[in-house]
Amino acid sequence: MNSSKITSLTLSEISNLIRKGELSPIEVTSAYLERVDKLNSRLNAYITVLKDESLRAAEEAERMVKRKEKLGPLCGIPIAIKDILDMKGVPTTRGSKVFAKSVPNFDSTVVERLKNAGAVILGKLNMHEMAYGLTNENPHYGTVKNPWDVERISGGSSGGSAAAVAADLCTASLGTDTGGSIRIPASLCGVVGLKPTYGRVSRFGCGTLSWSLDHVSTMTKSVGDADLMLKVIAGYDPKDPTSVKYQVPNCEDALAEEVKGMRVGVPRSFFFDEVDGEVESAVNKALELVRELGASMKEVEIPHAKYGRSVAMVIMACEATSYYEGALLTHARDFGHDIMTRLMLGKLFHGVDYLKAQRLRTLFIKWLENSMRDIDVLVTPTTPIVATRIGENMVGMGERTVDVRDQLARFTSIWNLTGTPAFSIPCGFTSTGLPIGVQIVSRPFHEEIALRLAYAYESNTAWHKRKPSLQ
Amino acid sequence: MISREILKRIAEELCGVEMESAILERLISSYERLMSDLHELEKLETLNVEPSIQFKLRKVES
Repeated sequence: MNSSKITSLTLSEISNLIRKGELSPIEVTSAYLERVDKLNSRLNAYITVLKDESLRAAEEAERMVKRKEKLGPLCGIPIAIKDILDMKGVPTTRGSKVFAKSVPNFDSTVVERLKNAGAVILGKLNMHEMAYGLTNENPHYGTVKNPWDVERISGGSSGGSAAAVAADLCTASLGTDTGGSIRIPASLCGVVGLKPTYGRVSRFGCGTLSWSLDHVSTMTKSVGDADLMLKVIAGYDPKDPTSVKYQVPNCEDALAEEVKGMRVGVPRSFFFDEVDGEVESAVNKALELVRELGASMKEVEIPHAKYGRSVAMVIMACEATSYYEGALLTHARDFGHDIMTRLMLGKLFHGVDYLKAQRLRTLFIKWLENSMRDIDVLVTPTTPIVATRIGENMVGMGERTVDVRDQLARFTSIWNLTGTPAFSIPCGFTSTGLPIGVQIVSRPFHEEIALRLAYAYESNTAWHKRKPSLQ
Repeated sequence: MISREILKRIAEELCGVEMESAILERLISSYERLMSDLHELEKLETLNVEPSIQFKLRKVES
């Protein structure tokens, strides 16, 4: 098999071929390293490529396969991680000049779990500085380019994680999501982005942006791959005080189930207002297909949804500034302008404002519980717009001009506030060939329900199989 | 609400930098918009709840 065929395979496909002895972990890792070497200068997806380390890990995986030892679920699978997750002996830059020389002497829990599962860590991925932004225009490590159009943004903050998966520079990646930072780039780059329930995946060893909104998770080429990755990284971790002991759902069984009878809630008000025409049309077609597959539709209302992002932003601004105030005092000039401004914003709120936002958050959680009482999932567009041009701050939508940054997280950050699982999966392309994502939200600790719908939809479409032309 | 003068002073005191007026304007407008949304939401709903500081979710069945 030639190297571009290897890198185009999904995680599940590569894993099966390795287990059958038809592909070797060294062959797979070498194919990915070759592709990274060829394309990374164009996309800026990686900050650090771990060539020697990944080949060593691949050799070890190969030895295990040859000795017919019991293989971990990710044995020999090349995976890359956002450069905000600690990996022993490798710098964790957080996409910032300020942390460029920070080298941890331990693995984050998710990296430890990937290694224990046999994964080969290919490198660390570019991101919006400090994970505090949505465009991935990074003044220190370069802007991550969208593989579908290199003049456009990848979305952020986990832009490198999405671009690397979309461009076949890794089989799957890890990212973080505080207001949509996995789902937004997943939508803009045409890959699967999964934000699990808050507490489901450990944050230990992950650089903080806003501890009560931060989630760690995965981006993949398919829904089945997302399930495999979640099973490896999820589960209780005593090192993370917000980690929970709920059992990780067996999504494999759920994926085999039909969606007939599933109750889908569609929050038309707010989540379908002021949305790009092509995005709205693609999401409506996705809903139509889900209905044809046997799901029932019900229009629902998420009370005061339009205020969700503001409440989340007050919390994020206060927590981020309280966490990084020391760095702001000593390294103000080393931060990008946008980060410095956002850190400054947190200084303006009073303790009362922060607590008020946290109390409003409790109400949002209650409102969502009520809204989802008679339904299984909610479906919305992931973003109201598609990838914009690099450097473009405002974009036309119908007769209006709207702020790109305000638009990108409009439908995502509310689910960080409520902590509920929310996935983005590809659901179409614009006439100019840019990916569109649909968001599926389920109740807390019921990731398997959203995965079931996502899997059924994916199995009946081919959007996830399209590849950007980067040769 | 915080006045522009006080905000400018906070910026200078906090990190010893003089802020460009365009950035200052953006910062103030973000702050004002977020505060206005918070007040608006408060007018609509009584805050008879405690904050979720140690944020833990419970499993909810349909």
